[in-house]
Amino acid sequence: MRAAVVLLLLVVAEAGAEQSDALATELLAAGCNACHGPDGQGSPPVPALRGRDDLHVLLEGWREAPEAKGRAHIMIRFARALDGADTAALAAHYAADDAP
Amino acid sequence: MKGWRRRDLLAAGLALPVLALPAAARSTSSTGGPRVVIVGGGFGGATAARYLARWSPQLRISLIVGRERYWTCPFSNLVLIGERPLASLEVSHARLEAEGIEVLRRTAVDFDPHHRHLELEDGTQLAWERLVLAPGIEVMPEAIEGHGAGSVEQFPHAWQGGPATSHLARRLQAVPDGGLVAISVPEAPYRCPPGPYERASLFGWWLAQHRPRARLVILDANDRFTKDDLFQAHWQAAHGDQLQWIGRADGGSLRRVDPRRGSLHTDFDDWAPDLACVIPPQRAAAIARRAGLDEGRGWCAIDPLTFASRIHPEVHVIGDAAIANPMPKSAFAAASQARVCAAAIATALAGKAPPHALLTNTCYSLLTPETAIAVTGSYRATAQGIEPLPGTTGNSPADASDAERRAEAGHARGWYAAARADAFGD
Repeated sequence: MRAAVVLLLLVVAEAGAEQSDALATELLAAGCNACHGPDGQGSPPVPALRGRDDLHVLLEGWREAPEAKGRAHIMIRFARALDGADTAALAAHYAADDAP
Repeated sequence: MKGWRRRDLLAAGLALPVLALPAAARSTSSTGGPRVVIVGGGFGGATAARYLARWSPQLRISLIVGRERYWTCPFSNLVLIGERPLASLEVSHARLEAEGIEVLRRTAVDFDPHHRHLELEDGTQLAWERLVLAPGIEVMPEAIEGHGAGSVEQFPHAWQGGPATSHLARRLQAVPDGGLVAISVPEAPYRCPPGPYERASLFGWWLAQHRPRARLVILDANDRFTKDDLFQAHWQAAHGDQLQWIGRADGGSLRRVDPRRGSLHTDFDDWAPDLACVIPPQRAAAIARRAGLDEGRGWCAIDPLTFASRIHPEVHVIGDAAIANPMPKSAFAAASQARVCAAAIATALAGKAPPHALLTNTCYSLLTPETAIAVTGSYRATAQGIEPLPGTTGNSPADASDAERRAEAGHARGWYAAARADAFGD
């Protein structure tokens, strides 16, 4: 009985963490959409994010860039605010083809 | 991290139904869900309303927008020089209504944080579970000796958008060649920190085209300003001695105006411009200074994790009215804060902790209608304050090419369209 309650609590905690992660990713992506348009569909000339499969590589490259220069200076600085889990979550969020 | 979509989020019951709330917290709405009332129909208020509706669909959301018509302040400096029609800045709240948000075109005059009521100008009392204040600013021309509401038309500021923008545009048109234009900048904090300098740059561009012998002076109550090295370098290169900036240390603070003569007076100088654009000192709009929310300081202290007031935690304050430095008082920042606030309310009403949040800002400033510079920053909210994240804050490169400055103006237009779509769906 006690084991079952513990298991149930663990399941509930796990579900809570996933919900929280999902909201955190939506919140993070909403920050991207502030320039890249609703649902990351693009706001020309700001490019679309939705459907891209290279976001993780791009973000990691910018995150490691030694200087914030050139046309990507804003993206280099935004990428520095992210950690590896953030870039992975964002890449998965935009790569998925089942847009919300 | 799984690729969760919104429907998963909703299916998982992130925003728990009203029954999950304590009994005392229920009963604020006839539709079953708790009611959140949001005051202010600008970028902050509209963004908060739409994201709350998305993340907490059982809520009843009322948005108090005041006057019926709303024009954005971003891009209004282009209207001043005839490069964009004012009508292109008007946005409607119709999309929000279509999404189920109750839009009330009346003015909020007071609120009671203990009984949780908001009072409208017609005496209507709205009950709320959470109140979000995003009312923007109030200008204080009377804080300048000799100035007041009655002389704003003579010393136009157009700092709150709308038809006043067209009035200032006409005043610029009337400046004679060889004439003098003055822009006075109040001591920070004020709405849109780079706005006065973008305006000076665009006025300078317009004067060079149409009144090539005219001069422009900026009388500044500050010694440093955002992107100052970039603005100064541009002014020197494009306008030379015809555009003069006088900072606080050199006596740039405006001390007095004389409406009869149309003159401006600083510590050391008297000016008689053909157009004097006097940007008044500012504070949070009146509703955000009720119930001691601003502690008499003019702006509202908040908990950056939730944007809950430090004085009345059930009342949230976002955008220009809040003390959120080092974030600037910008439309971008207001929308970023609105999303963090909406997530905090959605989780709190479901009995959960707010998610990890990143606050962001980018302010583009046009140097000419086709070239721009930007400042950007990302911030971590903690219970103590808002901290810039290392390496995330900074300006456009000083050595950028003309092509890069043009690309940045394109990004500014892209941001504007995206920000409007996000906040208003318009």
